[in-house]
Amino acid sequence: MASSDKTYDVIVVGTGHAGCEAALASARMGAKTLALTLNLDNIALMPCNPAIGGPGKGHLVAEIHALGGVMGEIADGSALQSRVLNTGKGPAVQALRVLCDKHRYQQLMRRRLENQPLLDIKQALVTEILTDHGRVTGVLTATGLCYRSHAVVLATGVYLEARVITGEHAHRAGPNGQLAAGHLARQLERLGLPMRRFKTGTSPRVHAGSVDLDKMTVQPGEREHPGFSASWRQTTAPADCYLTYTTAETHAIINSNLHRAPLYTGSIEGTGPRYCPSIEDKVVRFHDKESHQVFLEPEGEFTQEMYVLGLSTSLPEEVQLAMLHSIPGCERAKIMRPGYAIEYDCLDPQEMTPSLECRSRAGLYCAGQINGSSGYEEAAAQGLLAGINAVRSLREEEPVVLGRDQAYIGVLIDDLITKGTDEPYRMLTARAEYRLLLRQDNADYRLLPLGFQLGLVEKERYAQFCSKRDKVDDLLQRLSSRRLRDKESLALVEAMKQGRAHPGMTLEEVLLRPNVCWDDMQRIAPDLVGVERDVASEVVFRVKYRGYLEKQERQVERLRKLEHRKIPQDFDYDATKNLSYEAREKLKRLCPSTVGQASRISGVSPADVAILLVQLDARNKQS
Amino acid sequence: MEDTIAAIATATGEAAIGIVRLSGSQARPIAQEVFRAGKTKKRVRLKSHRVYYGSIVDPAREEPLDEVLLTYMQGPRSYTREDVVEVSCHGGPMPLRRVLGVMLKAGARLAQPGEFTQRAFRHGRIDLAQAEAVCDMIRAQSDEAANLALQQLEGTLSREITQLRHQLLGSLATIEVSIDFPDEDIDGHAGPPLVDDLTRMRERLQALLARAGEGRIIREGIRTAIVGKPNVGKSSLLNALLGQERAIVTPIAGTTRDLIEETVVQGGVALVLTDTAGIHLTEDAVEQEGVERARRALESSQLVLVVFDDSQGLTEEDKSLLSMIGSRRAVVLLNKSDLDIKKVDRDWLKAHVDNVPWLEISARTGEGLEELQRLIAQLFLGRSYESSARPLIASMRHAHCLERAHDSLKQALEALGREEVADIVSIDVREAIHALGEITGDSLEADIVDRIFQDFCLGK
Ligand SMILES: Nc1nc2c(ncn2[C@@H]2O[C@H](COP(=O)(O)OP(=O)(O)OP(=O)(O)O)[C@@H](O)[C@H]2O)c(=O)[nH]1
Ligand SMILES: [Mg+2]
Repeated sequence: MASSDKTYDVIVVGTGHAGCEAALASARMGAKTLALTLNLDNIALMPCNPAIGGPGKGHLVAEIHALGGVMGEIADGSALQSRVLNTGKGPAVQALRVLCDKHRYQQLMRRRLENQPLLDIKQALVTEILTDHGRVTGVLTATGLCYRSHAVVLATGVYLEARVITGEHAHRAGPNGQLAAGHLARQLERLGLPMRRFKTGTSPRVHAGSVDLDKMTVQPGEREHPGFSASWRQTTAPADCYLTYTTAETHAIINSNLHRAPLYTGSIEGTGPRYCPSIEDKVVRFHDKESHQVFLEPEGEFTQEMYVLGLSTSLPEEVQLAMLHSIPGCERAKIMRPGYAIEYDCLDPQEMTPSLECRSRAGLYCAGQINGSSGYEEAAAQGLLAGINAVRSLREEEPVVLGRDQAYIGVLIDDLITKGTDEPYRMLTARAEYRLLLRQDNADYRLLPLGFQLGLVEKERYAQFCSKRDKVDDLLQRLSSRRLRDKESLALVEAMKQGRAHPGMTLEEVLLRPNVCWDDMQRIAPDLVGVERDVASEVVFRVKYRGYLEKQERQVERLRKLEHRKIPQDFDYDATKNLSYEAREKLKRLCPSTVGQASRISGVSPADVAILLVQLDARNKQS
Repeated sequence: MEDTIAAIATATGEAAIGIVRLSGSQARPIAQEVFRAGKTKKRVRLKSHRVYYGSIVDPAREEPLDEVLLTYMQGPRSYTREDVVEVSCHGGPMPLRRVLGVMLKAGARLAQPGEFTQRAFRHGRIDLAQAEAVCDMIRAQSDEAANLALQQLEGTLSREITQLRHQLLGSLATIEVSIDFPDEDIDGHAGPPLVDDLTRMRERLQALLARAGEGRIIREGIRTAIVGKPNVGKSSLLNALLGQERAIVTPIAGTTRDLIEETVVQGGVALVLTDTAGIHLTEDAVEQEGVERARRALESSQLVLVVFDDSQGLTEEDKSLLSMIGSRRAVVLLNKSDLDIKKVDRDWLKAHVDNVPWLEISARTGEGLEELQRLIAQLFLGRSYESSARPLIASMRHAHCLERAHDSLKQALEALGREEVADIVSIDVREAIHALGEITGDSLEADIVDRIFQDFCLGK
């Protein structure tokens, strides 16, 4: 086997959303990094609709951004349209969604990778992970070249044993006609990593000139265009999206062609995600529903291709066309790419440690869809952490593991490795038990100092954050100490009709009242006018929701105590005979790294947790 | 810093005195919140290692719950090496429960089985060799608590709670889906229907709690009637089982005129004991009424303790009692065994009450009472049980969970009333589901995501 002349610190296999973040983080932290891709022209491809963010997912992007990852900036840089969702549902669940120009996104990311010092980027099909005594030593490519490294991050997406299905046609391929990686899947199996089969799907794309957008409802983007990064300023006018609906005829077409749907003929074995059902699935399961929403979204500035959101399907192409033609505005639609279902192999994420390293193969990190997740944002988040931890392990530093009370990234990784998943895992805010603490706009508070410490956030940005933090503290202090005594201000407070004004009341007490907003505050205290918007909104949130914040903090308190109790990896569960049988078996298999993680494993009862704590104490006292 | 835990520390029902113990950083403030000293009924600042006499009150109403002796032991000079407060109550199991209840309201958390010992161990009070023993104890206690909880939860209560939780999950799913899938055209949002739903569920919880307060539903207990001729020692038996002088005992026949009801924990099961007036023919109107009530108590009971006076021998009145038992479970007790005058005809018993076990006891000396406990446990649980106070604690736990669920729903409704946003309302709804899940042993996180996809058609 021919050996390449270079030895790397970290090799990243795959340059999808996980791979890009992993490679960039690794190189930026100062590690010599090689990123291998099946096709250089497909870096950061968005094979589904090119939208980034939304509830839970937008939170992930904000966190990636706070840690020094790039997804947020690149989404901003390629934005066609952006919207803030959930504005009326609570400050913590508000989330930004950016519709990207999918080609521009790829170009920006590719530029980022190519210009990154210490990062080599190369087109190659990896056929084998090289190991020695349970440790990763490098990778072998299809052309027979071998690259040595201390760590490998596998971010192979849906390419392992991938099979694309449209109607009666199926062929081995990755998304968009890409190569499928077969050798690697079989080798992972040989390494003793159990594989499972998932499926996902996508919608057809139509030519913009073939659809009648006037017949649909316009979904305009926001004029005042926000971005994931504070420095982002929109320069071009936002693009519009369009809403239309399926009809009774659409449903009839689907129903009469179900016998040709791979999902029902049994030609698909993989488990699909419940949150992303195909249209045939929706029509069958919710047969009372007369119509389903269909959104048409532009895919970019230099293309007429439009994504038909809501119409994910693997029915034969001619049925897809008939379906489309039954939808108002799409009567003459021309399909540019048909929808398809894709089946792929992935690993059981329960084989990973909280640092995303394979428990049985030191130095092998996995991130993204290979871990059973789905979505660009979920992939990027794992890629970032895998990249960070690969470098940290080389330097013999503690891995970065984020808590469930600290970040959606923490929830994501903890869910995957502790509970595993039976379907492609998608982030939902419902999965986070301390949602109020995990706002998109306090991601900087939660993670930016860590990003700075890791060397992924520049000094200047950190300084900006510190200044904001100081201003917030300052303003909180001012509100609680400023008392209203003059008649004029008190009269203004009365006029708000939110309760009586009493002399000596503080500005904070005024703000605490329901329906009093920052504009009102500025009227009472004109010196508040100059306060920056992000500072004011942080302060308003903390004052208004103090009671609920304290409630969540109390809930977190108990979790933290358990989370701080580490379980040594050589802990002998068999010697702890009082554990219940089920708990012992699961603990042995999953090797949780903290008591907190152990407590979340199904079948581990509070009594088992108590016994673990006592045994850990006993060990500590002995040593 | 550890939070403050509370639990009933002695086996109630068997000792006249029950102890509620608090341990943790807030033990003293919590105790000071609910304790009123001596006759002055004033709050006091507790000093370490002193015994105080006074009462425990519900601070919301200043209503005294029980007379107590209270000791405060500042850590590390205490069992757990944390601040510890011990409250000795002597009002029997119900006041004991209420005392524990107000402490939980004042901020303590109900201790897990074995948690006091665990803390003592972790703070270095117990030596290393005992770790294994501590773990054994935790296992045993929690298994037993779980078993008993199951038994207590069988039937309607369990169904009711499971159903409530299921409905609450539905309400939560409606909120969650509007947050996680804002673009979907789903009907259902945090509008009026949610208020109606939550209000209805809150009312149901309230009804459950009201019954729990009477000690009936949460730990239904076995309704037990003590019956017998006048003067055979029924009231003496009640007192002996309770461990206190609850009913008046005199050598005069016909002392007890009305029903006396008390709850006691015996052999791992709770008994709701009813002492009755001696059943016999009488002209006295008051007595007659008492006899009539005794008959009704017997008829509505699940267990009958038939008391005969072994120093007297059986009369026709005694024998007629046996026919009233019917298909109910019963034990015949030959009382006053300490006198050693065995006048009751054993052969007659063998011939006529072959399906009912009988036992010699002495209400005066307590002889045979342990055997009685075992017998009852066997009759109802199918196996013999170590006597313990745990069912009481298990049921306390349930009541506490129900109360938390109820309070959380109340707060959710208040938030809706203030027109708080959906995310804020969800915090309290989640808390309510968590509280009910602690009873049924289900986790919210696993269920809510399933529920969202079950109820709603989602996705692109
Ligand atoms: N020696 C002895 N005396 C007992 C025992 N149990 C009860 N006595 C005595 O029997 C008398 C009657 O006892 P009670 O408990 O009042 O009897 P009762 O069945 O409640 O009587 P009524 O309420 O009148 O129906 C009292 O003098 C008791 O002290 C016992 O086990 N041994
Ligand atoms: Mg009596």
